[in-house]
Amino acid sequence: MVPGVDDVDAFDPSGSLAAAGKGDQRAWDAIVTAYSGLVWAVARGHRLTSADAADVYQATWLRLVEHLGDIRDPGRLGSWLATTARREALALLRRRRDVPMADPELLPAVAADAGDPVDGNLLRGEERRALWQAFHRLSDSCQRLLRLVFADPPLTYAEVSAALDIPVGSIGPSRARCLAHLRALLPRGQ
Amino acid sequence: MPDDELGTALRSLLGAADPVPPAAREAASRALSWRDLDAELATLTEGTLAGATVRGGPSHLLTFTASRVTVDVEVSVEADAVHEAGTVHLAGQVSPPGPATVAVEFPDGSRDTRADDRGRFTVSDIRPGLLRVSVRPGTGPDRVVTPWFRA
Repeated sequence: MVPGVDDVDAFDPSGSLAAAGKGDQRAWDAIVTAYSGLVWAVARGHRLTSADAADVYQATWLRLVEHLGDIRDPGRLGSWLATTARREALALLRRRRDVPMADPELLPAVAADAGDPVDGNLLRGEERRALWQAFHRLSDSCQRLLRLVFADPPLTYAEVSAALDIPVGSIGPSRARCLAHLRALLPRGQ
Repeated sequence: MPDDELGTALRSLLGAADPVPPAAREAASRALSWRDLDAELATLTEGTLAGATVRGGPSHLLTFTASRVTVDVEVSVEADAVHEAGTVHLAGQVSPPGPATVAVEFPDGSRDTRADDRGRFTVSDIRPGLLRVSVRPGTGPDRVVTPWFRA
């Protein structure tokens, strides 16, 4: 059975891969829906501009289309996508080395202003801005890790491990350490 | 703020401030149309799919091998007055040498050309980015497509 597009809980990677391999658009869309956030978080975690992140995002999906017939372990599809997106991001970064780039520090500020609060009760106005500013003062490695750990829908530790090329056992301690750094950067009382 | 609460706040913030752009999401959905069940996927046997070429730098050579045909592609990036990133020039060689129907495909379109009697083809003025080459040698039905590579 092919899961519905919004039916992420019932998502069946094995069945969806097989159906998409035969050209089933609905099955393909279910895969994209389930892992869109993961692929985007990996691309953005490499401090790519929005345009370059979109390029990496697209390359990752094209790569999956290319390999629909030979994903050996459908249960690890998320890790496969995370690894592929990481490689595409690093490849693009290598290419960009000699090309002047927009200052990545400027990009999040624009994004922060453009975003609307999802949940006004949870976090709004000044608190929201303070959290965003604190987040962008974190080290690159902490930003990258937290983007993945708190992606929506959440990634498994196996997927985070594949995205960052780090051992699964180091994710929990790193997560705690990065959150502690983040908290220290927030104004008192938040 | 406890870790859980801070995490939830961060999840909400990241999702709202940096969502997947709708155009990218739509392109991902369309990517399935590039599934090419009728063509043999060639294997990269020389070079890198990542794209080693920089504008004005030396060209680089990619070799793709399929069961009955080899496709060599020389990629160079030329300076261009309009496009800051330059434009891509492809020079290809189909082996064994002979005429072939060739298409250079991009995520949002394609350009058709032909390889001459010696198996040579060229395509110029390509925007840098992802592309692949589809080759149908002679008049036969067999078609070969390369993996996507960056030029």
